[in-house]
Amino acid sequence: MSKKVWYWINERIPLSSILRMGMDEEIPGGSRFSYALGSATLLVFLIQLITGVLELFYYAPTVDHAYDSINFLRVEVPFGWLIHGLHYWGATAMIVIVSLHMLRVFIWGAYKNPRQLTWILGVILFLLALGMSFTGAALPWDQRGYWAAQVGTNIGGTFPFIGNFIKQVIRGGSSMGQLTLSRFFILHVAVIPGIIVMFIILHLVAFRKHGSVGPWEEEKRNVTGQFWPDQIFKDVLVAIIILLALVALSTFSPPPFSGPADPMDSSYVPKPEWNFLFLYQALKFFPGVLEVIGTVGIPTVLVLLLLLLPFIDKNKIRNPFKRLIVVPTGLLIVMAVIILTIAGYLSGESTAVKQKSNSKEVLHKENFSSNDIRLGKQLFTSIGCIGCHSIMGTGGTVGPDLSNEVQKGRTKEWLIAQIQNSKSHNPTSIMPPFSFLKVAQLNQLVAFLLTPSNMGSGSAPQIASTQPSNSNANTVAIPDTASQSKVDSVNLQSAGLAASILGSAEHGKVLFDKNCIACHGKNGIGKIANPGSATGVVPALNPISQRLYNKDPEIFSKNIDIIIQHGAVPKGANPALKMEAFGDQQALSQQQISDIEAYILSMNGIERGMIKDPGMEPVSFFTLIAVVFAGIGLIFLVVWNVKKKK
Amino acid sequence: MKEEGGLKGSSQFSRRGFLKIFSVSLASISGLLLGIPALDAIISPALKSRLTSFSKAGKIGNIPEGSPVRLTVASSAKDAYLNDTEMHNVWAIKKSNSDIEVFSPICPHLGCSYNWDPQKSQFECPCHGSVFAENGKVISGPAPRSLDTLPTKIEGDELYVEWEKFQLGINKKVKI
Repeated sequence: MSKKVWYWINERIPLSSILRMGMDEEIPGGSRFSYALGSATLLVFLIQLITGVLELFYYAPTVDHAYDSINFLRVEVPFGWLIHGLHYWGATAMIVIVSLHMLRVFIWGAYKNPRQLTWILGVILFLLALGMSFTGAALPWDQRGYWAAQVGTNIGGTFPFIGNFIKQVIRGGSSMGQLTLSRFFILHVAVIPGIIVMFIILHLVAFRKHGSVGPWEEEKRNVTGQFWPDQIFKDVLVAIIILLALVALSTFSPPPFSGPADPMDSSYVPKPEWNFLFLYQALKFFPGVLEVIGTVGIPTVLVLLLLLLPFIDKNKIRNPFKRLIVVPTGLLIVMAVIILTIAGYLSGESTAVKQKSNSKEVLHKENFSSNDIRLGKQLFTSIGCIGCHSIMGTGGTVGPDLSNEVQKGRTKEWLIAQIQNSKSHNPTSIMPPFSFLKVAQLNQLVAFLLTPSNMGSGSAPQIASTQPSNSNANTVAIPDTASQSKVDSVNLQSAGLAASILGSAEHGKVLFDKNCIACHGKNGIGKIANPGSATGVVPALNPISQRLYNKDPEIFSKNIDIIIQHGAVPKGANPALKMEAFGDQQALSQQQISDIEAYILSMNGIERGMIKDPGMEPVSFFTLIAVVFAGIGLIFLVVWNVKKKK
Repeated sequence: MKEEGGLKGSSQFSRRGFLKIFSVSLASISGLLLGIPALDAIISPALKSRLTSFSKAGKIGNIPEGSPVRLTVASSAKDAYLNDTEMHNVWAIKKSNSDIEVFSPICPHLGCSYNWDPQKSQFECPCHGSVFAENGKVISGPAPRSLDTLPTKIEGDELYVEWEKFQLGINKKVKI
């Protein structure tokens, strides 16, 4: 019956001959595991295609919903964690496997006549894969992807003459926004994949036309093996290992939640995707005018070398040990890329920041005398600035931290205007006007604020001593912040937007240490005195009050969100510290609040990104497929041995 | 497809045949192991019912006793990753501070919005002329059942209503 159907189909479509074309082939030297890299690449492409389409069932390509929609998939859709995890790790696997595939072809000399075009098509496919990696990373519109796209398009902008044009066309405007996301989206899901499929077909047809190249030693070429089933069998084994590895990575090392994109957040230090790290690291060798060498020069040369390789290395010798110039040069370049990638990965976030601030510091140091800076430092304490503002970890938290005024791009003029009348910059500012300061004093204060490097040493002002004794404290401002678990004194308002955003605990810690630590203590342990309040201390966040705690991360977030958004006044006669309304006063953005909430949850043992509906627990799922594959392997091993003995 | 392999001697055949079975079965099993989660991810969220919850309808003191009044309820429905707030008008009849009945504003016949006629003391649907008494019972017209009541909850001075929808045109009140 099945034969009849098969014939019926083949009379109409030549399926059989298509299959034969794909399967029937003699492999000189027999099948090998190292030949499996090509089909492994195809496998990963299929995984990306399938998981990518599945992600599209839930993903929304808009700046307001992209991040939430991906998190919905990951947390609330059964097996969403698996789909997203496979796609995320598959992208990495793709670059790794393609690179290994190319390396093997390079060492075997398989790009030589008549296979030049197969190689060139492969290089184009590799570049398209990089394009997928770049555009895909931006789609969740999280901090990581947003900033990687920001930096990436800026790199495009360094192209001589037409850089700005290229940058604007890719971004869909001069700045990053909805049109940027739309462009990245359509490139990632339609344009590039379409081109990739076409090139894969061409690549495979070219490969089939000339077949496997086989070993370079003539004597080993006498043995032959069939593509089907000999090579396919090895391909399948490699495929299973890759599949298991991808599921293991999705289970035990899920993609991080890096928080929603926040263009205003200057505390996030961007880094590109790992496969572009070598370029990012190489750029550091080309400061200033030379930058274009790193951004445009190096990539162009590398791509040209790859494309022209079959024409540079033309002679027929394939044995890598006899190609004494090409092979060592190629391996040297590969080593350089690997070393730069590792260096780029290890280079601390601080390096980038340091480089930036150092250059600016030098600029400002020239303008201010050390005496001015010293006097400014004294003023900062004596007139009560420190009551509200902290600098290098000391001071109040009503106002913004002033440690990084240089990085914020503040100028002398801006700061003077702010000190004299803060309402000139922000009409709702609660900062009192310090109009009584003389011009000389203003200059000293500004000198101090714009010279962070002179801060850390010896006579750092002590908030504890200035605060209670300073009679001006009441008029200038009381350092307040702090929290409150007495819900009755909290504004009975609803939770804000932040409560429904899945923030990044990691970045939340950075923000917490900047904004919350003064009152809630390191790691939220609390115990900071709050004279005048009923309990006498600022409530601890770690562990947090049972009234706020909840096992459901969303409810937990909502509970604390009300306090962070709208503030709270502790019970007691006259509490010195009260919780500021960080949301209402727009002291923190909703994205930042969501990050801080994720951090507070994590301090209390609750993961903000906890999977609500996994379909099947990740670890159980991984165990299941590992056991199934191991079981099948065992059965076949036994059958094989029994048959062999017969 | 088995015909495609090389048939070179019996030992060769059994080895090849073995490799074929092994490859095909491993490939199909991995397809199955990943195919089931894929289907689950697409199908099961579609079968889940949307969660609703109680939302504030107003202070009990502000609701006049006796005749029905229209209250606005902001139901915060979660539509996948969108946190929607939908506004609905409901009819509330306060008999005492602890006894308040709330009707869905949707006529159980075909889904029109009905009104309260204070002169005749009855609810009237403009679409097909169904008439309901103050307690929601059908007086006349094509409506197949009484007006649908909504779950309520009183906490302190606050009335909470849970927004629900029901199937139209049938005798029984069946939640959608």
